[in-house]
Amino acid sequence: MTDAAELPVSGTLERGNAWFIKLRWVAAIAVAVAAAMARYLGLFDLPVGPILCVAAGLVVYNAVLFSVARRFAARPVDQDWGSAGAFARLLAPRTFLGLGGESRVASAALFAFAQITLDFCALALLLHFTGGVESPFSAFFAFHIVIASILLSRRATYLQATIGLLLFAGVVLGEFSGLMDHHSLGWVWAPAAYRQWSVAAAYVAVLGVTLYLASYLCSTIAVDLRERVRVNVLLSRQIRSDKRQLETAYEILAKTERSKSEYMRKVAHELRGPLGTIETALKVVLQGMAGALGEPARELIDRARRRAGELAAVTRDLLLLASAREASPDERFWTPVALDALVAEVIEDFRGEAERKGLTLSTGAAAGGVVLGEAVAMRQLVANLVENGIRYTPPGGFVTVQLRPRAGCWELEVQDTGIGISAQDQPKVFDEFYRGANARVHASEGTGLGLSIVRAIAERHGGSIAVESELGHGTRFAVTLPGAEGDRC
Amino acid sequence: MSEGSRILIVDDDKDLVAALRVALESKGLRVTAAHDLSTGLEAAAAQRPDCIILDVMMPNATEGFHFVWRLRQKDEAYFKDVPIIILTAIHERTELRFYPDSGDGTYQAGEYLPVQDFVDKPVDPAVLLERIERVLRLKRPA
Repeated sequence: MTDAAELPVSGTLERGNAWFIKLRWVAAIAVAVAAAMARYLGLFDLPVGPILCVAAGLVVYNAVLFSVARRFAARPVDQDWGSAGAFARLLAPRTFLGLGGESRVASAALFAFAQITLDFCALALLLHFTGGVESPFSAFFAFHIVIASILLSRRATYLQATIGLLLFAGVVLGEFSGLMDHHSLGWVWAPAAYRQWSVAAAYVAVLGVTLYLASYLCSTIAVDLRERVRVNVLLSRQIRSDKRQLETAYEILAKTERSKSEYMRKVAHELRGPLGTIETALKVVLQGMAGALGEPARELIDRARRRAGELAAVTRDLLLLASAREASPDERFWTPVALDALVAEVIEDFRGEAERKGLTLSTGAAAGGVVLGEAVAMRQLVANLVENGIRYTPPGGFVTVQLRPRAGCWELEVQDTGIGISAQDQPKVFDEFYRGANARVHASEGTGLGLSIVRAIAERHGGSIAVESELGHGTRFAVTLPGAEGDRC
Repeated sequence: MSEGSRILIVDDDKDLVAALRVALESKGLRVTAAHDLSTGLEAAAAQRPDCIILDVMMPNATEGFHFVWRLRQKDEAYFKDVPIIILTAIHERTELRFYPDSGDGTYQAGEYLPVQDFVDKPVDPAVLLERIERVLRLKRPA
């Protein structure tokens, strides 16, 4: 048992009080109706007048409790409850800090305690008017112990059991001693049982055991339940806090990704100028414009120029990748782009290269394919896929570009009969600088950024890319892009 | 090649200018250079070159574009007609629209950049020489 489980959470206590008040209206009516029926059906010889007075008393103090409860609910959570709060803390010393003002919880506990005590008084009166020890209503004391264990601390529940037992004993002893009248129910088995000390003592003892045992059992269960509720409350708070932390972490990650792209862009931009100058200077020398060149010198310079060209290609691709990953797509540059015309243009651009390699480059593009986007980027996307197909397809093979509508979107497919991508390489082909082992063997050129750029461009335009491939047989890339009407894929 | 033609290169990259100078001079062209907007404009006014090679991205971002606008604004006919070839990286994205290549050496007035040609960076000297030859030939029809 933990300290925190001593009391229910503040909301539970207040709801319990309100529920208790509602039940009492029913109880008052039930007492009045039962007394009247018992009397008029001639079952028992009951003093109906006093019993109806008890019912009326129930109604009166319940009305008071009702108005107090409403005022309770209207008070601010952290208001100081003064002496009432101090007394309440005696009854319910340990409360849930942080789940509502401590005073509020303690005062709600005091309120519940007062309600049960008033009910015990009413019950003692009812007991007296229905036969004292003979009355079957003594069992009702146990109901309140159950309620007390739900609403109050273990200590307060035992205190309630003691109050209940004292009231019961008071009635029994009062009648036993003759200080109070005895209203017999007319049970035939023991007309003067209330006058026998052994009967009186036995009833008091049995009720005492019942009340204390009920206090013990119910408190134990209630404390366990409260602990679970408390754990649930803490868990749900933890989940909310974890969610916030995750969101923050995601924001930081996104920001880091953006600054990474920005850094990449700046570095590539700085490298591009000098690399271009190196390439141009080497070409001037190679083209013999700076004077005659010996063969070994020419070969070395040509190698240097090729390597400079590779570096320039990497910086160009890094710039493309960085701009495709920019934080917010700059939709000022977005225009309707007809993919069919774009595919035709790109095919025309690469036809020479395909023929030189002995490949058949063809298209079966459906007419249309209008998407909204950056024309330059879209062209880059198609060109990268076609270039890729040509690069990794051996002579005699085919590279085919298809364009087809698919559920409000357009699917651009580039299929080749090339070297293929192994199953374990397929998930990585879109990673930066990743090139499959067979790709590196087949073609030395290639920056390893082309497919990263394609994916970044597709995602920037709300689309996606998928790959299917069989090693040695070919590869199919399918890019899905939203149609110009703004459909989502 | 139009031997003896005077070419002004306006580019802040002195190493690129050095390489281009070697290439152009090897074909008998006479090369002068300037490295920023104001000295470029001064050199153009003082030397009256037959053709200007211009870098777009100079220290102040789009200085090359301003060079074009300011040169073409001058009243004298020479400044409106002197051929300009821009060196650019094709992947540079810009909001300015370029003059469409009509192929006869003329350009339209208005929002387009009034220049004769563009050569992609990294510059291939053979390509640049071919373009220079072309604009010079168009400038002086036989």
